[in-house]
Amino acid sequence: MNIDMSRFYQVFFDEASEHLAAMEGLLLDLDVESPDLEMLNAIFRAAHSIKGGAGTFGFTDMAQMTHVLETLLDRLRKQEMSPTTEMIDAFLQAGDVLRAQLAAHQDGIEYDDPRIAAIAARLERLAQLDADASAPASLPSHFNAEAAVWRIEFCPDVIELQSDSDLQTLADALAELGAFARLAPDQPDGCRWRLTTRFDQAAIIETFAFVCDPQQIRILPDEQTPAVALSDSQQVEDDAGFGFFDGAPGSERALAAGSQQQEDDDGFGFFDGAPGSEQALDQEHEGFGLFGGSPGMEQVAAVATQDRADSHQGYGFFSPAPSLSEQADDRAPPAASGTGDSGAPPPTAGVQRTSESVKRPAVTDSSIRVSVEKVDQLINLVGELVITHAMLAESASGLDPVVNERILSGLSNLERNSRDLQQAVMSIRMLPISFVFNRFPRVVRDTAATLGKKVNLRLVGEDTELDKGLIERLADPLNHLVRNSIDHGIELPERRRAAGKSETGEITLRASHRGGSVVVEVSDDGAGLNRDKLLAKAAQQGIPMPEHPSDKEVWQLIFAAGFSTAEKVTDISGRGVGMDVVRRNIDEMNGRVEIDSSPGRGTQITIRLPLTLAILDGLSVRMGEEIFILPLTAIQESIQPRAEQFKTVSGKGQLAEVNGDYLPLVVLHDIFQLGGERIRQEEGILVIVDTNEGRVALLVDELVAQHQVVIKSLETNYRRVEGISGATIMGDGRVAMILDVDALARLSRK
Amino acid sequence: MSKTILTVDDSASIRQMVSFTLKEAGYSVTEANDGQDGLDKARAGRFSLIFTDQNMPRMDGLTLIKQLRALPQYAAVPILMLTTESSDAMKAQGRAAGATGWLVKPFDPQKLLEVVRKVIG
Repeated sequence: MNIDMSRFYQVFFDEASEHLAAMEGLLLDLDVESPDLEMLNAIFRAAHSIKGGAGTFGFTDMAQMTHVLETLLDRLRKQEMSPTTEMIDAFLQAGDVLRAQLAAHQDGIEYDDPRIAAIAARLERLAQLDADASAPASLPSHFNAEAAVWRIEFCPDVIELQSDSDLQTLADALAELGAFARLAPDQPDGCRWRLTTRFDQAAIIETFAFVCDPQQIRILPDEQTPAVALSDSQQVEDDAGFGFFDGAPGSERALAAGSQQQEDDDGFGFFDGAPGSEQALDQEHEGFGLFGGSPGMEQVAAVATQDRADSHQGYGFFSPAPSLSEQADDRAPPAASGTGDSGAPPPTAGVQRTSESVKRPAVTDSSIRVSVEKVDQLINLVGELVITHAMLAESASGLDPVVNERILSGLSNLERNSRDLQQAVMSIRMLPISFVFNRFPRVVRDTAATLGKKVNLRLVGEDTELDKGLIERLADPLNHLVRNSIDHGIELPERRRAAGKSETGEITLRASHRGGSVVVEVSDDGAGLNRDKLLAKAAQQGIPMPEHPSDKEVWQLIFAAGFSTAEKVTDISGRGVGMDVVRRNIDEMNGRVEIDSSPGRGTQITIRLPLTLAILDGLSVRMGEEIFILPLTAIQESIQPRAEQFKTVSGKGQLAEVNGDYLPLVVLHDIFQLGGERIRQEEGILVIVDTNEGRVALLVDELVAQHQVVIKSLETNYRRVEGISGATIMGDGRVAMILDVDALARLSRK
Repeated sequence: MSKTILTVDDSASIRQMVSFTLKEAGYSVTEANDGQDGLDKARAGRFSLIFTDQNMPRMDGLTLIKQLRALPQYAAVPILMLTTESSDAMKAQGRAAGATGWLVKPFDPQKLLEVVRKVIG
């Protein structure tokens, strides 16, 4: 059978990048002073898994890199060495190389970089640092040029070995001297082992002297077998697949038969020995082996017997022989799923367990990978379903509830189900925000190191779930904000000390759900924004400011294009591009940014995002004949105004006085030039909304209802209209525009 | 008749490769993503053959093998270790834990099938 390995590549790519991310996170968290063993183990496992996959799927460059990585990690987790900062740096670099190699493979190319060799050499050097000291000192003295084969026989009961584990320790110790093998399964009244080694007899005796009186052990040169395999690698490579242990029952016959059968069977013909010999014999093949006498070998022997019965017809499916099904009944009756190719009748022994095999555990994996397009298609269809339901409900609203009780109750069931369905489908696209957060430990480490600052990163609420599309778009703005915080927010250690703060600054990334939105905060305990400096800069750049601007208005200045207060442009930030891009990115996600800062205490930037870009919690408002949707997240309050609340300022348009504040008044009638009859202002409703331009009062005719609406893009279906962020279809089939409050505030200013 | 094989590995790609290969060959396959998961699934089902990785979170392969051998229904079921290390020390540990054999990683699908057919037919 030919299996196209490339079908598993994508899974490997995903898995490897997850492992790389996990590895990096752990490395950054690792405390070099007192390393946590569990963490070292987890790092090792990540490297090990990548190596295994890379080897299996033929990405040798990655396998090589992970191999050197793993060698050093293995020594660390076995506590043979303790980690150093230099090692962590080397590990991180190796992780970068692996990531680049992975990306190259994903594009179907090979990654070539002189760094690879340098990093591999660095890791190897680090792993060797104290290797000389740990090598056994006794090595030269008992060493022969030629490997010899020794037979070791003893009786565990007589030498009073405490337990099986002692026996195992002994076997392990011998295995370190050379190629170790059991000639027969260990018994309390006798063990027969074989050792092929270049160490002499004295070295073997010395090994035994640790656990027992060597006098009780018989160590004899084994002349029957020439010394072949010395090291494990040799055993696998040189000895193309065979390992027979002399002296084991039936091995002579098996040897003879094996070499004869080799021709028939491409190297697998051990089974011509006495029935059951397979059970007791160690079998060494190329790349795998079986332990003679171990549990499960009866099964192997049974297969071999069956194999013989099938007269060497190569490999295939064998109809179950009576002996085999009996055995299966004893131990592991196969699940009666009946998808086999053999066409053989199910074994009678399996019948009595049918009831058990019915409640077999799920055969499939616990997760599947689906393309995002398929999920989006589902979301669209569910959106259509929700709209269709709304239309049906609208048509049915005129029906007599008594006569049409069943239709109406069916409709309400439909509503509940489609809402549940919508939520379930939306949740498929939801990912924990840790997907973006997890890159920041590295960003903070590297940025802080470049700037000579000490910064600690705290992540809170990484489990908060958010639409995948938003998560991807959140990465860049957050990156800017975090780098900015380190560069401009956190002070140098000496400055912090002088200010009576801890030398190490702290940046917190916090995510949480609030109402229907997700709130992401980036806060630092740095110097805070400087009000005077910002105002001076604004004056210099000719940015108009009100006479007595509020703090909030001043802080918003940093989002102005080309605005930077940094005295010196650094690599990290300070070119003045960035913050305006941050704001634009967030605006595009229907989100909003707020800044809070206090001098000497730090700055907090809050990003508020909708849960998803596909649906919106909105309030429908009526304006004449038209219905508009206002995003709920923007609404602060709505009031019934009195006539005296409306003020007109010459040249500046209208204002509304709300709780002592004067807010710009936006009259939708005017902005969209709606026709129809206009009501008196005091008969309408003022909706106070929060925008990037500050608070604004919107005047509408009537609040209609709260809806969850499916967002349809106006740009793709029509064209971009200022003041409108999208459209939706209402229950009565009408199209309602979704208002973009930021744009409205801007429009009203003009 | 299709025999059910349990493959225990924390690496999804290896698991899928093993699983796909064996399913193509007509076996039923259950996947488990670490030793503990493997033990739970083994307890809940019946398997003719078990492959297990060694290095896994929660419970490693050797511990899994020991725990399985303590269960009467798995006392004699073939259990093979998938291992990147084929040193004698590793083999000795595997043998002591009760493994039936070992298969060196990386391996290709043909090798895997060869082993499976040898062990359970």
